[in-house]
Amino acid sequence: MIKWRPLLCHLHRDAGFLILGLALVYAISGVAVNHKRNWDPSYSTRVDRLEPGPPEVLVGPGDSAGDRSEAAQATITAGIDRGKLARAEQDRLVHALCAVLGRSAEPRSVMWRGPDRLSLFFGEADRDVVDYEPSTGKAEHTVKTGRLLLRWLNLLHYNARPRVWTWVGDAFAVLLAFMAVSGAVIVRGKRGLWGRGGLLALVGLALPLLLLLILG
Amino acid sequence: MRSSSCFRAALCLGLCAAVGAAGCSARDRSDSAAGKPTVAATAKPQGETQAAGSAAPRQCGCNEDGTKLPTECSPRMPTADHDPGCPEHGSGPVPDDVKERRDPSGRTVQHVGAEFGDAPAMTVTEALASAPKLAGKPVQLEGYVSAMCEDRRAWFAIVGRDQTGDTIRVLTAPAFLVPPAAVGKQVRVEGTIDTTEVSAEMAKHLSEKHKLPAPSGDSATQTVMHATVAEFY
Repeated sequence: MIKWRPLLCHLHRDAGFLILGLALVYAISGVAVNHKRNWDPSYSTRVDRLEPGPPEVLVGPGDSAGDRSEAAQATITAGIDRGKLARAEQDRLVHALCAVLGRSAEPRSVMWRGPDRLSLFFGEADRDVVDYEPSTGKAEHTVKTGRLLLRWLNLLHYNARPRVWTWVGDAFAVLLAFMAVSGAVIVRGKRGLWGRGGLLALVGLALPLLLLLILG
Repeated sequence: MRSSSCFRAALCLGLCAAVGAAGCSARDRSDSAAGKPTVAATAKPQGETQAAGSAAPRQCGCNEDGTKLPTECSPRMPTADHDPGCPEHGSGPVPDDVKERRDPSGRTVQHVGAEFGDAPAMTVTEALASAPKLAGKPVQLEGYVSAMCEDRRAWFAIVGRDQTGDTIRVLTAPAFLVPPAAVGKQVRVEGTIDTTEVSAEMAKHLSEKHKLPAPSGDSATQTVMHATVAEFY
């Protein structure tokens, strides 16, 4: 007859080694995601405040936008004031802004996110954005950088990558349940399920149940 | 020996109580499913603010097939802003299929949701100006994606091509999920205009995290669009 307790002990030990990496992935990412209300667990954000100057200075004499005439200055200023800047004038302003900020590449997308907020999008999504305020001549450069390792751990946790991770995640869950149950029945005596272990298990069981009852 | 028996009896009692509590919880859920009121079920459903005659979803906010997803970012948003869940349908998966094609100029166009209808096209500013008249009617908007819920991908904000900065928040769930990294792209979207209540906390969230113009006050209203289809390019 097979002695089930030593067998369970061996399985528990081996499964423990097997899920070590996965447990760390979920544990580290779990803590990071759990606090996502207070921080972005995947990206760190840096905001630099810049002063490229008002439009009339940007497109004025010495700018690299091409047309340096006073007429061009006046057209752009009036266009912004009226809230009706022509496309060509906006392009000229954006070009001058890029030159002052030292950006060699033209923005992927340009939009007015407010009557006094011209947004220039570089790179993917909103990872590299310049928000320019024509009335003050000030700008904010926001750069989002993926957090080293944590971003990838979160991608795995969220199951955002190829669907094969669904199977890995499910297998991990099954093994975790096996670890919990086998760990509870392996220990005998006063420290086992019918002793201190049982009491601790009850406390662990009561916590989520209490929360369920309280929060509905 | 005697104390050991007492300890076992106490453990048994504790386990029974725990199982009983779980049973209660399960009963509550089944009551809710049967339409009996619970705290969550009596909360004001999102669809309630929808104008009469809207072609959108049922009163509960679900599609005909019962699919639905919370339309806000954070799972900790207050219940009034959150989709309270439908006792009849519960929550279901939202379509996340993106059909990609190339337009004549070579750009990649991402199509999500149903097919475009013949709804009249208008600017964001025009839609905001005549929001009460447009309530429940399908319209088409074009502009840029100025912000999106990156957590649940359940909404994005569309800003017009003009210089006004006028913005409408487009709720895409349960019709579709916003493709990842959509901010900064151009978009054409069709859906119905609606007015929804925004709590002070949600307004703060929209303003601080997404830098969106949000109504002020304890419980202000905001014009939104319930989208059925969109193209990002």
